[in-house]
Amino acid sequence: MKELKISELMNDYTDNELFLEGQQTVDAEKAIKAVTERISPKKKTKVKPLFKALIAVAAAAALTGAVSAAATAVHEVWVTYTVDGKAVSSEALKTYTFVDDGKIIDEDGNVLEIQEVDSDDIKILYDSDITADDYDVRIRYDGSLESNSEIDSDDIEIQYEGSLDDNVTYTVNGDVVSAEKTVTYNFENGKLVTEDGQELELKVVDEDSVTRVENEDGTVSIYIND
Amino acid sequence: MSEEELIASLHKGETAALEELIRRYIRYVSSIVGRIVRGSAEDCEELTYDVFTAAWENRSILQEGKLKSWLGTVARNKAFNLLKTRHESLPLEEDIIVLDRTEESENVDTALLIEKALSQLETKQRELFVRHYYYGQTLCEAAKEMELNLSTAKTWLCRGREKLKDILEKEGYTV
Repeated sequence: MKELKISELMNDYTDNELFLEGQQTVDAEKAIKAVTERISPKKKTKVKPLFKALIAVAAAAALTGAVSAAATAVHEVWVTYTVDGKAVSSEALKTYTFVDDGKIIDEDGNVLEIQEVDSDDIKILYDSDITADDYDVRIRYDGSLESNSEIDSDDIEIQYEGSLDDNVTYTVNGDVVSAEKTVTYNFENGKLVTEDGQELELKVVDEDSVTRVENEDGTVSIYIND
Repeated sequence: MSEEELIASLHKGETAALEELIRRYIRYVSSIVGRIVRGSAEDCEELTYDVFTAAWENRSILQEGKLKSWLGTVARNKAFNLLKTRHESLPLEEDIIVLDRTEESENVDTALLIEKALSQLETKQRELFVRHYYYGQTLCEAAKEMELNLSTAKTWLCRGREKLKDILEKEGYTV
């Protein structure tokens, strides 16, 4: 079963009939000046590379860090992705503590029960509207959920809906190519879609395969190790 | 300059082509964002600049015949995302259709599908559908601007959804 949003289907519509008459328009010459200024080359800042950033096809990776403890397992949910070879990162999304009897506790101490399953082997562990950050996170876990067990991050699938705005730093081979730029991504049906229509695949990667570096401006760069 | 030539120039990274792109499509782009953000001149300007900046940064993927729709999609996404970040998004009427995708529906061109569905509606009904599902106007707003009573607007919108579902079924989906 698939949920299809009419408003998303309408992305492919072109309003040639212009049900828009009388709407506001922007001055073309002013726009040309503004856009030209924006696209003019910016000075690059050299930073010491810790790890070579992944140069790859447009792909996205969501990272979960799993730490098992005696009675609980703490999951810090991060998102890491690369776009056309540029490593893009965001801050941690949320931290959850998995406790006995199949419940999880969020950062605010709320106990969240596992919700209805929509297939026999996939449990929705967390499905909440994180309004403060304006995006939803849904974590699915298809492994066993036994007390005191270590949760394998490979078994976790993260789905996002809504938008995610972050100040991010792009790096290519350790060179900062653009910093403090705000980008917006939409998460639709488990796919990460840029505003510019590029569909990027979400993939869970192991924590050991990445390194996080906190930047001076408070953002975090996440490097995918060689 | 034809669209083919415009895209070829953009692919070569010629800024003159960007200027031409802006002159040619600024009314279209700014009208879309202007309608969605409901009249804020500053937002409309910034978003319009964002769209053309994105077009330049993504010029290698622009294709002939799809340029206008690409600009429209980006304009919509940016405008709706701005509303989302401000928590000003408004819910749409029965926006979600639950369906099964079959093998024969895998390669369906959704642009064609939408065009088919809309072409089967009368102009006013089509306008209402577009105002609501494309521009995100609430049913009340759209009905008021189109001088319709709310129940008529609801009926028309429902008719549009039914047409869409019919076409989805014909294209191999199970609704």
